[in-house]
Amino acid sequence: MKKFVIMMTTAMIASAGYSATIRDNCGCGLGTMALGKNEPTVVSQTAATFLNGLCGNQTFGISSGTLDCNPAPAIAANERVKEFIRGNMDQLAMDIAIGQGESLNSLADLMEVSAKDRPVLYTKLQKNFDAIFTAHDLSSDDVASNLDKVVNG
Amino acid sequence: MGYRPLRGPVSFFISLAVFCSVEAAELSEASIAHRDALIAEAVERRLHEDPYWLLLGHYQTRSFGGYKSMIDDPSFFNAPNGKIDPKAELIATLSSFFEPAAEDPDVRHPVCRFPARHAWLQEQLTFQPALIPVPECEVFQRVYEHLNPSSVTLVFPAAYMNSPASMFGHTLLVFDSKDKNRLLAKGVGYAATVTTGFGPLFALQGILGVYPGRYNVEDYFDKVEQYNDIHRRDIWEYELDFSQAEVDRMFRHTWELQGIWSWYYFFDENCAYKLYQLIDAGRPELKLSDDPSFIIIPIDTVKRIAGRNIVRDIVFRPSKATRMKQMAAQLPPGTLKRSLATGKGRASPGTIATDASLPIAERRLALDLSADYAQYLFTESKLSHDAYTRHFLEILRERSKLGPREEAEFDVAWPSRPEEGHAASLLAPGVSLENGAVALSLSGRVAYHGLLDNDAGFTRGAQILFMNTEARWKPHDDHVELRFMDVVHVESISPRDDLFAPASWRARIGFTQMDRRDDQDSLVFNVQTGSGAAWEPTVKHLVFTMIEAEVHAADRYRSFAAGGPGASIGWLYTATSNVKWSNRIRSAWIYEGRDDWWRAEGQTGLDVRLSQERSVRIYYHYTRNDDYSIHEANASWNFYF
Repeated sequence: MKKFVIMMTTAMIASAGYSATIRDNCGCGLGTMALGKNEPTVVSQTAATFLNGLCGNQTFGISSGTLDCNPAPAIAANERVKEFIRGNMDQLAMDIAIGQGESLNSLADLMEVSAKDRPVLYTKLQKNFDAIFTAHDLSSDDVASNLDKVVNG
Repeated sequence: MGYRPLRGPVSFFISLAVFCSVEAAELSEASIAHRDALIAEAVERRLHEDPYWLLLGHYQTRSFGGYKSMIDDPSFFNAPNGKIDPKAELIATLSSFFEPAAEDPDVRHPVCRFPARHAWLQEQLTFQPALIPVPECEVFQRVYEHLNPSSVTLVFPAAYMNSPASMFGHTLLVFDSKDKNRLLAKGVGYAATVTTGFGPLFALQGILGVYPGRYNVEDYFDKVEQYNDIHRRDIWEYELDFSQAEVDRMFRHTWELQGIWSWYYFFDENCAYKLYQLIDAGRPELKLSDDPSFIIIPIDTVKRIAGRNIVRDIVFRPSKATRMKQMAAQLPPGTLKRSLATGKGRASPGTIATDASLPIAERRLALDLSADYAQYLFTESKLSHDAYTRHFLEILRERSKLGPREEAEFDVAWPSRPEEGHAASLLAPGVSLENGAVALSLSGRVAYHGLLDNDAGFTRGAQILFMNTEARWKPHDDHVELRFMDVVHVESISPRDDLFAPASWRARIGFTQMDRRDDQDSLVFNVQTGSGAAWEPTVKHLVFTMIEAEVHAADRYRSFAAGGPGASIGWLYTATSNVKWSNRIRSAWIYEGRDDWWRAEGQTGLDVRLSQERSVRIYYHYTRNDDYSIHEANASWNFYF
């Protein structure tokens, strides 16, 4: 009986912990890209230099901020769009404000917009920048739904 | 090619029949017979010695006969001794295809875990689908269709500012998706999983193979963000001319290797070498993994591929830093200052956006730069997250009102290509004159790039040298002398400008001659460090100054050690793409027990490149240690290899 109680308690705690870390509606916003390491010091450069340098920074353990979002692979097209926005929000914001850019092209690929429709779409998005990025702390899912409204609404 | 579910009513019934018989956890007699026949045929035709089978297993021949796989993870092998016995592995693999599907849907069938082996064996032998319970490899199929790989690209992130070690570069492979932007592709790299910190132990453990290495698959847009934006590295992309069949073979083999670990050997089983094996899986005739070199550097991958003429297209992806510098160069100084102040949040973007005295194209460029600059400050932790998101959005808001760029997208000029660079090692025979005495000199190093070496393919001002050595033989008294042997000599001369203000620095550890007037042995163990600043008054000139410190250790010193502070100024002039001229003056005050003495150095050197791997160099050094002067002149022929 005691073993059973311990097992159940552990299972409940473990699952509670699990559900807390995997959020469903991720709400990742601007500035969730990885931060750079501080400028390399003389010591870090020389001590581990050759070996660290030889194959790049394989261990900085960059936490991209999207790791705690729902990690299930996106299958449906609109899910892929959401996933892309989540991982590229800052660059997308920049591309939309400028009216062009590779991230914007990737978004158009995912939205399956034909090449001839793109110039009109990009101009429309640029004009409606304020309606898409409504606040500095909005989540990527908000951006996705705002985009939807601007494009289709 | 891929795995497709059996279609049509007839095959459905066959598969049902097979499934039922499999579910009984027993193979039919016919299946068993077929399995045994396949195995017998495979063994008779010695398929286990076929180069492609050995490649898929990452087998290498051993010195005294036999084979051993470079893979250490037991789950890569179906046979218990699969690591050292390709024949047993082949037999076990063929047998495993006949295994029934597991009850647990999360456990994958061997056919689905080893699609490359399955596809190849299917080509070599005649499988009878009716007798083999081929499962639906749902996950593989779904991922393959989702990614839709149509070509393969070798990606090389180049060096970044103030990190000479990053000149070694890195390599990863990207599977481009058909009709989709490369950012949406998946990148494959090989890396060690390091759990301890980066101390000196890391270096040793990396060499000894203490860390496990794995192939990692990541979204390419994540890698671009990591390399391009945060680490500010330019990226070179070399698209290979692989056919769809070759891409598929590579993809299947990559699938087999997901999550599989091997001990990571820093020099020869590293990120560069392990990618050779993936590329060979696509096109085995390339035989990239036959490379016998002791040390394999990422740039070697690029050079070998560029040299074999298998590149369909090259794309240069400038880093944020490169783009920012070029944008800044196009703005008049006043606007540049305002643009950067806006990025910092000290000026409102609206004042630039609505300033009618500036042409609209200039306002657009200024705000583009402000946004990039704000992002740079944030990644350097110079802006808080909250400040960044506010500034960034405000800038973009104003920018969006200015409309799209009218002129063609501002094209960043390409720097020299990485494959144009000289090789890592150097041997330089030459002639010296030392205080009037003639000598023959031989200098050289194991790796990698020095301040006076030609900068094509490298970063000017970045130096990283391992085992840099010079020795002289004076025929007059038949005396051989080691002038210096530096285990490590690193310099990072990074110019400061309006955008970036890096600290230049240097470090040198090794043995060097501190010639003195007496007859004692003057070879000392020497550690020098320096820190300072550099500027680039014009694109050809680099001037720098440093505060330095040095410590010597030698038997000749009463208390074994001596050292003190110093300072230096230098000037590096890149006259043409083939001629470089370097100058430096250094001064140090050395304290040795109760004595102290002054050392001064003046150095000038000229390098003339003759070809990618050859140059001619002359230098003159004046050194004064206390009251003893040494004049050295040297002319040498550089062979890079």
